[in-house]
Amino acid sequence: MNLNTCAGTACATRESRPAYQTREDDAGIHLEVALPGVAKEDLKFSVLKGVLQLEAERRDGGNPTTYRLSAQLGERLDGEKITAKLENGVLTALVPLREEAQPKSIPVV
Amino acid sequence: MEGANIETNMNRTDCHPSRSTFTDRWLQRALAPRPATVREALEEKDNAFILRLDLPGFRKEELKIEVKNQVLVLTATAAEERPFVVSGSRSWKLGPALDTEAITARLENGVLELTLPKRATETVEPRNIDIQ
Repeated sequence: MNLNTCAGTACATRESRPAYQTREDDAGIHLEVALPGVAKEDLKFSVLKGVLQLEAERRDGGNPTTYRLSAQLGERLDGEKITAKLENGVLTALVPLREEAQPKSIPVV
Repeated sequence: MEGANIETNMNRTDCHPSRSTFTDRWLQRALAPRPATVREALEEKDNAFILRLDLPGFRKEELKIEVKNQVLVLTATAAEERPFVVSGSRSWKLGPALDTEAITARLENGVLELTLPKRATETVEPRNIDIQ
């Protein structure tokens, strides 16, 4: 039995989709997610079968909130080499382009 | 507890009637609560009010908190353009039963937590005056 499961509207934990921004450059996709009140140990950030998943528990007073976000990674992105940091309630991550998808300058001789 | 109220200036443009419509609109947009991120929660405890504000991305040195004439003013100035960080200010009118001298603030994980202690009860209770 899962004690953490709460039925219907009686659930005390609020679910929420966090605000996020993405921008792309030659290195890959930069992702920024607003996760106010989330401590590093309460953040789960993973890649499973090409899907980027974020789950964060917020328990800084008031009703606990769970932030959830997931995204399908394109073929040209390298899910194995994601780097991320959590600072001042903002998660900053870089999903790099696969090496073969990165732009290469061709020397002109 | 009478007088222990905190009145949030929700419509932040109201306090600056002299501002131009353009600035008002800009301010409204800049300070408009974004769903799922900006959260303002007020919690009353026995001896204090706890005000929690979501300010993801802000650094401590970018926030200024002042109390003047029973009004608490928070001014947030972004040092550079960053996601989720929008400069602006907001204010709260404080009731007389709050000890404005003892307000403390803490910024953690993008949440600003203000503790507004209530004045000791004995100062609020009626004082009996002896008839001589």
